[in-house]
Order: sequence, then structure tokens, then C-alpha cells
Amino acid sequence: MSAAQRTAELSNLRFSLLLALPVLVFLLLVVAYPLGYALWMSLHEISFFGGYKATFVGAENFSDVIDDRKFKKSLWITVRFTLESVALAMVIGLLIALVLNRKMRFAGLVRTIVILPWCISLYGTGVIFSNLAKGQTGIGTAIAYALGFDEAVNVVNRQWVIEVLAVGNAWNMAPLVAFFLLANLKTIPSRLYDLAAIDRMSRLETFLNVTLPPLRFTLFVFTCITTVLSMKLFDFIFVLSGGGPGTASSTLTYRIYKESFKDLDLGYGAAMSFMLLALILGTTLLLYAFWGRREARSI
Amino acid sequence: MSRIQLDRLHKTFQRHVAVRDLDLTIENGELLVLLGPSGCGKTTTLNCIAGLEMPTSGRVLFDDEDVTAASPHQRNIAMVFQSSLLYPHMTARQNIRTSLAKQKLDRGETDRRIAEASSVLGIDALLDKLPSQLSGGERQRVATAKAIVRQPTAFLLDEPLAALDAALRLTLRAELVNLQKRLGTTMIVVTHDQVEAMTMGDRIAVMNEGRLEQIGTPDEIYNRPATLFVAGFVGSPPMNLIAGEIAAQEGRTPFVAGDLAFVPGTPIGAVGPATLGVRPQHLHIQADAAEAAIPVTVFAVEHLGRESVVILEDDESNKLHALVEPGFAGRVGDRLHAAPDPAHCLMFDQAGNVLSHAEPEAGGAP
Amino acid sequence: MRIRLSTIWSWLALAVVVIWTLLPIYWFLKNSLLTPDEIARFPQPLYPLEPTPAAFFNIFGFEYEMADGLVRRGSGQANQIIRGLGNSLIVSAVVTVVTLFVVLPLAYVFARLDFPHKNKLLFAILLAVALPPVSTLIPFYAMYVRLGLSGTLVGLIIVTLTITIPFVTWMLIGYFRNLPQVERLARIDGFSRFETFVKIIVPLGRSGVAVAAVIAFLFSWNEYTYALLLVNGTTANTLPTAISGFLFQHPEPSHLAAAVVLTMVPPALVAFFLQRHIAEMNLVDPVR
Repeated sequence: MSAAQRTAELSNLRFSLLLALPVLVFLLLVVAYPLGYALWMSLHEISFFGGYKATFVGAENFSDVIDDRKFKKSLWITVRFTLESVALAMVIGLLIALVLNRKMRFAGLVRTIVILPWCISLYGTGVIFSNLAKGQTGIGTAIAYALGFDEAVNVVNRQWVIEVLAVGNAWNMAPLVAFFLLANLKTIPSRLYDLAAIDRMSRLETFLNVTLPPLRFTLFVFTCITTVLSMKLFDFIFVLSGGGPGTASSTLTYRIYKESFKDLDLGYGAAMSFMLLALILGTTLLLYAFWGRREARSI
Repeated sequence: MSRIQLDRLHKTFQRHVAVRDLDLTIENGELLVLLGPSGCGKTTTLNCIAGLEMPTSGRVLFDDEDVTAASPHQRNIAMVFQSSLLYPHMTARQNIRTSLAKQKLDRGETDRRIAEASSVLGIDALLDKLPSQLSGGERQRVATAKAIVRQPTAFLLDEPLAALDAALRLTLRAELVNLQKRLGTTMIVVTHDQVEAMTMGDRIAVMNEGRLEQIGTPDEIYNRPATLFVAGFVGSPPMNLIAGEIAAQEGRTPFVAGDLAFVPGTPIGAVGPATLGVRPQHLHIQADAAEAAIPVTVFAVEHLGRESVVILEDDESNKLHALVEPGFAGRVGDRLHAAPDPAHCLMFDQAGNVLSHAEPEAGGAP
Repeated sequence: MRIRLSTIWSWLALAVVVIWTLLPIYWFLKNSLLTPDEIARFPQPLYPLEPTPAAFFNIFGFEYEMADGLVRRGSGQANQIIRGLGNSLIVSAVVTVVTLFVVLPLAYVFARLDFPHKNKLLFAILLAVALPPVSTLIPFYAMYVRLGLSGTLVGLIIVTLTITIPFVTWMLIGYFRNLPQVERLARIDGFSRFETFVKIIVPLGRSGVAVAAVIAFLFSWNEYTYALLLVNGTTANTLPTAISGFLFQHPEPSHLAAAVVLTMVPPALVAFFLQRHIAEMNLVDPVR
């Protein structure tokens, strides 16, 4: 820029820098620095006993993680938990949105009730679902007794614990999905439904041709969001099942917690963290490549 | 009040040239309309005058003073944006008052000016409403009031009436012109609507692809367009443009296009490809064939009451418009002949510049 | 007849949605009103037969005399609960204020202005949203142990900001982008860029700013993972970690339930506000 072009006002760039630079530096400190530190730790064997000591071990932590059978099991548990959580959250979110998408009395009250699970903490959700699903206190037991059986129904067992977790997680996430889908639904002109009626579309055809298309991009984005949230979920699992029974619900996050903070093997935990991060980013990229790119283009 | 000059104004965005070496002078107290299709650079030009946009090169002068680097506020201009942009979270009164926030006026003077502006525009009853509670026309009036309280050196209006319905547009444009004449403040209006430009402007500057095509009074723009672009852009129904060629024949220079061989009212020296332009009111419809007439088929007849527009189609499916008396009896599909009036024809060369006028005159600018 | 039938169906659907939402909450919260006698029963009753608010007094350390003259003693965890409540309020308030100060300018700049490498920086923010708390915690934990920040409120506040800042920024970018282009108006009116932001944009976007504040507060109020590993068992423990005491040490279902109700009060208070405004946040495509 020449001197003659200097204006009396701040340029975009200078104003942006002035406003955002301090903040970006802060973010860098609280995000990039720990990330770098974690990388450094993942390349070291760190011990706390007898004073803090870090010994460089190269990629040993990473190769140990890959050879670890428990890691593979946790990986599979994470994938299964995520798939079930996302599927449930999206379907339930869509159903809630469809139910809410009509004129009704007390709409504000209903919507307030519906968003409540999302406002409640994840550890709170964990406590609630633990109470709901365990044999001692559970609703299954209460129903069984009411029907005349006299056996406790405990679904927090090796076979079903992941499904219990997925339902609780979906219960917590679905409202957010529903509210954003609902906002989309409200933008569909009612004329379009008239048109569909004139064309004699069946309910299913109307849903597929009128209701669904404007939702597709939101569905994609929230599939990504719920996937990421499910994969990084920890406190809910910690409270509800504590990774158990045994290791039946030890997701990657739970295993990282255990390696790092129970066994205090921070280098190993850090290496596993990067595996988890790779899983999260890889999955989102795949979702984008196979679904999101198409949706983005079609808008 | 001031005289605004643009000196070789040039503006590029990345690789796209928005305004190309524009020279333009807006006289003190004048209402100038910047007219052109979307993307022609007219809004960019206005933004450069306002100081919202920094020209890539060239200067902006207010009363011979270089203000190219001055902020909009230092230039003391007032601006009304497309669809009458207002601060959505402020009432009409607060919106108007914000115009004076940086004027260092005492409270009494501020209130007095707001009262005056709102009575001039008849919005006293609307002052405590939010923009979302106002209709399009009311918002436009508030935006205008916000502009005039400043007592600016110039009013800059960017498509001020575009978002309104046709009837309201008619009323408001008369109000705007009336206001400008009473205040005597320089005003620049950007529009793509040629009717609005013709009715409002003291002068019209027609822009196309970043360049100034022609500047002149509405009469000059309409009757003596300097370029093919201006001829085609201004006027409704549009001017008929017939592509052909000027041939050299025994001292005469007739214009030839298909069956048409036509001798313009004024002799033309040049020879080569050319375009004939004739306004619909100067295209006469006749039943009989003639050398100076084009065989056509009636495509549609639009009855406007005072007159009718006949849309004709020649043998190459080009559409022609003709204005006729309301009693026109032709029907769709009728075979007729259309004869341009030699006294009111324009010729344009291959580059689109005018070759002759019915009353010959050099150049476009006065 | 058809209309009737469809009305019945839609009421039924609505009822299912409400039951799905409220049943788990109800099933848990009824515990807080049960008498020790009812809790000991198996199976537990479907609803409190003699609802008693005793647990709500007990968790704050107060005794409560029941109708039959039985006195229910204050919880041994009361001190923890009260301190946890105070700490939670402090952490959430500080996190909310700092988040707003950081996020408002950041989101505004990303939403409304162009500058080099903008998309790369945006990607960095999205990456921060995707980081698992357990992972970011490892370096913080190691760092805090060495710096002496573990077991302090300051330490907890800093890590909590790593959750709130990226998420709220992401949320507000889309919101700010949808505001009308009033900057041009403000320039004509003579406001500097900074004044435009403070005096025009923030008041104009106040509902978005309010949602941002509420979300930041909720996230930090609901935060458990960091608190569990950094301040649990110290004087800096927050309400959730104080509640863990009930969870794993002294099973006391009515106290646990009452304490969890306590943590649900702020979420319940903001739910009405959030349901009205959450969808104004553009989570879906903040970048385009």
C-alpha cells in the first residue's frame, strides 16, 4: 500500500489483529501448548515415583499401544458405543423435531421440557441412568415386580452395558439435534406440502421429497458433532459404569484415564490420546468425504 | 453543499476490475443518477465517494479538496443503503439520533433537528417504533430523516427504493426529488431502474462494466444515446436494434439487413457492419411491403390504455417493439411490415458508438 | 373422523416425547423425597408414599424432624457440599466472564472481517472443539503437578476455558455472520471500528451474547472430568466432585438425589431461555 492510500480509519487487517491477536495467543497457549507438551510426553517414559523423571523412548509408547490387546478391545467398544449413540441421537432427535413441528398450546413449556436433558450435566445423566438401569433401583425391576415377577432386572451387565450407555448419551444429545432440525423444518414453506398433496404423494414420499431434503445438511453436521461428542465422552461413562462390569464398557477415554491417572503412565496415556484424536479426526474426515462433500455441493 | 469530482478513479477487487479509470464531476446542488445493470460498478463508485471503499488508484475531490483518504464521517456525507438499512435494535428516534452522535451538538440542537427532520418526512408518529415494526416505505422515510439531520455535504443513496412496491416507489421518488430541490444539497442516487433514473436525475451517468458510457440530461440520454449500450438500456419498451451492414452504393449509403434496405435521414460516411436503432414509437406498422420495411409477424399485443405495444417477430425470430394507437386491430399471427422512421433513426458502428444522430452533434457529454 | 384420528396420534407422539424426556429424571428425583424406610424396600416404590424434603435439609448439614418424630441427621458431606457449591459458583462465574471477553471479539473478527489465513485459524478452533478432555488433561495435569496449580481454582478455571472458548466461539461466529451489515451505517455515523463493535454489534447481538453467556456458564457448571482429576478431595473441589462422595463412599440415595437436584437448578432455570434462542446460533455452517 502506498502512502497516499493510508486512510484515516483502521484497515480490516489491523483491526482484526488488534482485537483477535491477544485472544489467539491465549488460545495457542491453552490449546497448542498442551498439545505440543502431550506430543513430547508421548515420546517419553514418565515416572512420578522418586521425583518427576522423563526418559526419551522414541515411538515405543505408540508401538506398545498398537500391540496392546486392551487397546484394541477399547477401540472396538468406542466404535460400537459411538455408532449406537449417533444412530439413536439422530433418529430420536429427528422424531422429536417432527413431533414439535406443529402449532400447539404450551409450546414454550413443551420445548423447555424437551431441551432439559441437554442442559443437565453428563455426570448427572450418568447418575440418572445408573439409577434407572441398575437392578437395585431400576425401573426394570419395578415393572417386573408390578407384573408379578420377583427377579431384579439389571441391564448394566456385560451384554447390555454399552446399549445402556448409548441410550443415556442419546437422551442427553438428542434435544440439541432436535432443536436445530426443528429450526430447519420451520423454514419449509407449507405450500410445498400442498403441492405434495396435489401430486398425491404418500406420507413416506412427502417425508422423503419435501421434509428430508432441507434437513440433510444439518443431519450431516450433527452426525459429525454427535460422533465427536460420543468418542470424547468420559465423565458419563465414568459415573454410570466405571468402565465395567470388568472392562465391558472401557472406552478409549476410560482406558486413557486409567493408564494416565490411575497407573500414572502419562507417556503411554498421551500416546493413546493421539490415537483417539486420530480416530476422531479420521472419522469426521471420512464422514465429510463420503457424505458432507455431496451435501455441501447440493446446496 | 459541494461539488464532487472523481479523478481517474480505479478500483479492483483481487483480479476483478470494478471501476475503470472513471472521470466524473457532480455539480453543487445537482441530483445525479448512476445508472447501470448489476455489477457495472455503480455501487462501488458510490462507496468510493462515500469513503467506505478505498480506490485502488485515482482521487476523490470535494470542492477541489482531496478527500480520498478521509473517513466517511470526515467527508460529512449521509448515506441511505439498499433496503433502507437501519440499526435493528434501535427505535427510529435512536437511529436518527445516532447520526448526530459524533457531531458534538448540544442536546437542544439535536432534538430540534430530529423534530424538524421527522416533521419534514411525516414520521413523528413512528419515532418510538423499532425498524421491524415499520413498513418498507416507513423505513425508507426514517432512513432519509437519518440522512438529513446531519445536514451533510452530499446525500448518497444506494438503490433507495428497490425493496418497495411499485406504487410506493412512485410516491417516494417524487418526495425524494422534492426534498433534494428544497434543501439544494448535492445528491447521488444509484439505481438499475432506468425509469427511476429518468424521472429523478438532473443528469444521468450510465455505467457498464466499470466504465462510464455516457453522462447527460435524461433528454440527452434518451434521444441522443452515445453508445449502443445506452440506447438499449434506456427506454421502455426498449429501443429496437437491428444488426446489419452499411453498404456503398452509387453515392448513397443504405443500411442493409436481410430484406431491409433503408436510407437513414442523415448521410453516413463509414461503410461496414452496423446496427440500426429505432424507438418503438418510430417504428411504423403497415400492411404493404416496401424496400424500407421489414416483414414481420405479430407475436403479442399489449393494451396499455393510452396506447398499445405490439411485439413483432421478424423472419429470424428477433423481437421488435412498436407503439401504436389503442385502436390497433392486428391479431397474433398477422403478417405485417414494420418501417423505421428515417428521421428518428440511429446508427451504431461495430464498436457500439453512435454514427449519426437525427440532429447531428459531436460527442455525448455536454 | 380422519382429523380426529391424526390429532390423537400427534398428542400420543407428544406424550411419548415428554415421557422419554422426563421419566429418567423423575425416576431418579423421586429418590430425594423417599423416606429411609422406602429406600430400604425392594423393589422401591414407584412414587414417594410419604414425600419428605428431609434430604434437602440434610445435605446442607441441617437436621430434619419427620412427622413421626424421627430425626434425620445432617449429612457428613455437608461441608463438602457447601464448599463445592461456592466453588462451583465462583468457577462458573469467572469462566463465563472470561469466556465472553475472549469470545466476543474473536467470533466477531472471524464472522465479519477478512484476513489472511482465516480459514486455517478457524480449523484450529474446530480442532479444539474436537479434543477429548481426557487427552488435554494429561499435559495440564503434568504441568499443574509441577507448577503447584493442581488443587487450585485458578488451575481449574484455566482448563475449563479450553472447553468453553472454542465451542462458544464456533457458536457465535455463525450468529454474528447473520447480523445485518450495520458496520457501513456505523462508519457513516462516524463510529470507529472498536466503537462499532462495543456500541452497536454487542447490543444488537445481545440475545446471542446472552446465549453465549448461558452456554459458557452451563458448560463450566456441568464440568466434571477436569474437576475429578484436578481438584477432587482438595479445598477447591466443586459441587460435582463433592457429590462423588455420596456416589462411591457412603451410598445414601436420598442425599445423592437431593444433591444432584441442586446441580440441576441452574440448567432448569436457563432451559426456557435456551429453547427460545439456541437455534439462533448457527452451529451448522458457521464458515459459509
